[in-house]
Amino acid sequence: MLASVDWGLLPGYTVIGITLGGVYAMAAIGLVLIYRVSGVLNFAQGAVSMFSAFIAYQVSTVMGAPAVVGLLAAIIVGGAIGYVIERFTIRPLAGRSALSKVVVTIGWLLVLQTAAGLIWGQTAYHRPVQLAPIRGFTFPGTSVVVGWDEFTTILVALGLAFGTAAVLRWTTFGTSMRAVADDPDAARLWGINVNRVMAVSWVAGSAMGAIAGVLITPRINFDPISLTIVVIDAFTAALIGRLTSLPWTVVGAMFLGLAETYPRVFSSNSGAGHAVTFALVLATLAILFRPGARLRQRISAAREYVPVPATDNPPVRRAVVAAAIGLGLVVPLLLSSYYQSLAAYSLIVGLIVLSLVVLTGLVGQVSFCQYSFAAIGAFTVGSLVGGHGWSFWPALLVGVICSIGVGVLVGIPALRLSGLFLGILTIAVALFFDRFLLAPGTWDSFSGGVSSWTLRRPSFLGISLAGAYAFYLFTLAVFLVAVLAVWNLSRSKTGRVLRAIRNSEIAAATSGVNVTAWKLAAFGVSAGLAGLAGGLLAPAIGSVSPGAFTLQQSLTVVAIAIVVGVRSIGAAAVGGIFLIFGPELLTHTPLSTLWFPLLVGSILILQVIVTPQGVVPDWQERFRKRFPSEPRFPATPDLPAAVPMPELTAVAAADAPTVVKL
Amino acid sequence: MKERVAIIFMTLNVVATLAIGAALAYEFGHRGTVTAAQPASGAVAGQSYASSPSSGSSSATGTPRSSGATLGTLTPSGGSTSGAHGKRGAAPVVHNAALGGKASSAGKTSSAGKPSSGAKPTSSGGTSSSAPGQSSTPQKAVTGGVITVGGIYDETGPVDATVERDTVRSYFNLVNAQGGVNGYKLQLIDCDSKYDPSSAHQCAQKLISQGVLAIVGWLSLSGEQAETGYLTSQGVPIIGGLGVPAEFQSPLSYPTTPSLVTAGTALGTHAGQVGLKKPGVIFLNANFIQPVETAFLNSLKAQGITPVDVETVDATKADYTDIALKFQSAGAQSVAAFLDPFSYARLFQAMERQNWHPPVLGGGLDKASANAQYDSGCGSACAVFGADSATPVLEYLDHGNTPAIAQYLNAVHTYYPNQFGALDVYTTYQWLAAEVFAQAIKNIGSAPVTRQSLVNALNGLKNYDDGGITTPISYGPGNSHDPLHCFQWIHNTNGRWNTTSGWNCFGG
Repeated sequence: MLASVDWGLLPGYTVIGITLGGVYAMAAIGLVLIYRVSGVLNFAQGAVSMFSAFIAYQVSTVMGAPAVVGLLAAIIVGGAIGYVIERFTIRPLAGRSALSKVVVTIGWLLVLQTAAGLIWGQTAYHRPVQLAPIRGFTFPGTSVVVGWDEFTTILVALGLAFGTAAVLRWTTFGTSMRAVADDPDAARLWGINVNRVMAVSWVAGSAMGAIAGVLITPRINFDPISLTIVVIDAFTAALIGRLTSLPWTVVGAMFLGLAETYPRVFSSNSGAGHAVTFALVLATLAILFRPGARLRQRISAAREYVPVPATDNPPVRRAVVAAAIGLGLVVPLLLSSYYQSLAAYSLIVGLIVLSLVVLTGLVGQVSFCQYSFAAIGAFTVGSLVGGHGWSFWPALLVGVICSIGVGVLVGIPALRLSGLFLGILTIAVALFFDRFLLAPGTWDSFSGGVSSWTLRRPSFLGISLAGAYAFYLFTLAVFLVAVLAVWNLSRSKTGRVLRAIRNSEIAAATSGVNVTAWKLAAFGVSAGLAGLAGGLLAPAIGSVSPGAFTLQQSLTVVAIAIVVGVRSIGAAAVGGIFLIFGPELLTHTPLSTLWFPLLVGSILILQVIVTPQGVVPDWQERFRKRFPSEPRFPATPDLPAAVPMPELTAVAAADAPTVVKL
Repeated sequence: MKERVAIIFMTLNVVATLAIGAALAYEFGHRGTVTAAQPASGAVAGQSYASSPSSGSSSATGTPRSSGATLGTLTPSGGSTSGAHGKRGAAPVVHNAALGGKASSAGKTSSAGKPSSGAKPTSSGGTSSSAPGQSSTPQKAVTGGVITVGGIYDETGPVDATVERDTVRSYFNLVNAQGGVNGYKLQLIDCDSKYDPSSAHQCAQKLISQGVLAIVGWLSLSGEQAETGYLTSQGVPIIGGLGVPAEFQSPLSYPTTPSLVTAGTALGTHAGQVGLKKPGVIFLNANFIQPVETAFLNSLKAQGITPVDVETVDATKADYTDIALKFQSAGAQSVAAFLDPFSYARLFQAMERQNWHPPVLGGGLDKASANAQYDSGCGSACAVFGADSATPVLEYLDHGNTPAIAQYLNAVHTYYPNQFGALDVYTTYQWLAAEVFAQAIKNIGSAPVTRQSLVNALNGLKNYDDGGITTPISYGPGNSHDPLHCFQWIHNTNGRWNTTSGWNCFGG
């Protein structure tokens, strides 16, 4: 195989890789700067870069100003966005967990991404901002041709990296930044304006992201989503630098750029580079982040745990549930077949929300790859039914089993990780699926390649599910069974074990709980539920293709789960309805469906700041107050009425910045 | 303060819930109306739900974004999306090729192929073609004097087909401004297929549930091949499209372009005529590309041309520098490609980065906004300078004075000025689709407008002259339709596209 490889391509590919690495380095430096000073891993960094790049596009390409003016505008707007994020949405969360702040940045990601799409269009049909001429020159002493734009990118990246390092090391303000990163309270005692330092770190970090965004436009699909996802590569580079070391971050970025480029020498599969990114994320998390961090995290999580007083009123609750089921049976009868289909989709998506309830709500594990688990179910069903002529039901069973298996596999590294790092890992998993596994050319007999799998709705016990209402009833039955199972699980001994793990893994282990086995089981059950949803989605739509299972969908479903309350089983139905009927509702307003992620992101930000427990638990709390009943055990008088979401408070010491000398 | 915000927030939640309830109620009420309009007999493609056509006081299509356009020639120039091209203010030229059947000459094209002038469309009412898989879906395609058709477009993702959508709407706006067709206003409902086959399928389901009369002037790169069969099975006629193979295998599909397979053969033939040597070949990875690739490579082989490398790329591929390096390393002396317009832009940028400027041959190269990406600032060395292409419609960048093309350019400039720079060969296809649809509705006359009557009218369309934009179009009651087989060669000279031949016809 190696004999057929054209090694003469390597010098040219090295230039491509180093240029790519330069862009990643710029994005990662901003990320590290923000993380070191404020302790927040800014998931919106890519979105800020993207939005700023579009500002440059507007100024230079649309309005005709020189590209440098566009770059300056991008830097100003990028910095301003960074300031707004820090001042109005991060600073109010002082004292809250790092993950709460991360969720806010995910909200910003959705807001900025959608806003850019609404303003400039969600296609890649935008001319890049050309800061330097494209035309290449032959690098002295070699036969390698380097584009001037590539050369500029590499120079700017190196300049920013060493410049930032110099500022941090040799200036007074840099010393202040390091002091705040080390111990904000001590820094405050020394008279340092901590808020100002944090704001500056956000402004500077976002401005660097803006530069990266502008420089990468000639080398990437210039659209809101592709540019935003660059943040994952930046994360990887930053992880290699252990989120603290700027020089190692730059080295990591360059290594990543080359590692993503060289596989193209051997393979025309453009997704091969993303597989490398995934492998690097996995390796970095496994090697560089020690288990010791987990210990502190667990202790912290235990400290923050507050038990929930059980003040349910079963008769009233049963009446509400019965009424909801009754409405669920009758209301769709009044709708057109199209809306009946949407109702079925909403229940299927509700299953995915339910899978998050199990994993995040019960066990406290973060996951941004639930749609990837769903994809396992959907594509297994699609390929077995569409490609091999299987009957639907055994294919569905195999799909769910495969999903469980993949869930357990993802759960293995999760044993070492939680909080932010588990989030990064699951994002890498989602991108691995999105950009590599399901990409045409990788595994076409599974993904269908460039075509979609098509299949018809099956019959169940001799009853055809082809009709919209029949299929809706079937999905309703499946959904209710799943909800009942999860409800029973949460109330059973197993549920108590899972909650014990969520609250304190150490305490649970001390009590004889096999934490490893239960966490893996939780990942398996959660992935199985998502796989079931995917398997049902296949006949619901009648077509299976990768576009329905992207990272974007996973992020949106997490956002919605948090908005409605990821600890509440009832949130599954509400979340599914919100996710499917929300965009549909917008079509009856002056807004379009494209606005939906923006609204979700905005609500998410407000939600975390105002009612962190979620909408449904909030309603339930009010309901309990309205219809009180005897508590099964007496509530502690001093406890707050609204209990913070453990998954948003379960990360502390491990996520706090650690100072390492530059 | 926090409590207040919480109260406001909770109130918003309640409002959202109420709004969902209102939507359900709306749907319920709306459904009742549609149900009432259904005839007692089973719904088939030929049934009528039409109300009487009104004289058309309602505005059926989108609001025009511009009040007028300059008469005469408009030349789209690329780059800016601001659409500031030419002056505005006068009414667009109204050329009756579509509605009145007036024929006009093809302007300055030479007549190496078939002449395209003079033929008048004939309407026999057509013989009935039984549509397979006739739908039981309630149709509300014709209500209140408005005919509603659907279109599936890649509106988000790596491909931007909003310009095709807006081209169809431009034509409908133009027709509606003149009182409509037989008193009917025309309306297009669009759906975003997101460059994803499943989304395209959901779009097809949604449009069918909305009871559209037909699909007119669609462009869904990843959806057309699969959804043509589905729409056919549901009894929905399809007019226009990209020209994917499935559209030439359906009794209900009425293409307004040659098949892409024919285009492959034509372009391969032209490669021999322009003396292409040792090409590196690139195809866009799509579910319809295999027969196109085979046709092109066979045609090259017939011309004695052997590619040094054949690459297939996704539409999402951002950087073509690696492809340029591979071609150079393989000893390519030219480049031949089947890509979408902005993928060409990225390819040419990569070639520019490598200072590599071999002869280029490609389909669909002539898009002003994409051309602007590589013809600014690179002088005569630009990759596209000297490039060759083939087009089955009059080159719009070279025939602004031809009345039919001028009408097309003026209409888009009038109603969607922001899209003017993005016009290309594919938008011309969909403009023709809208014209053909309107002509078919006109030919239905006073009879009820139904899917069946539309199919009959389309099947009866013979030698329809679109003002010389293509050779005359004829359909029939067969199991498939393949009305166009002719291409003109175009060549880029210092950034300007020139037509270098008359019609060259293949197969058919």
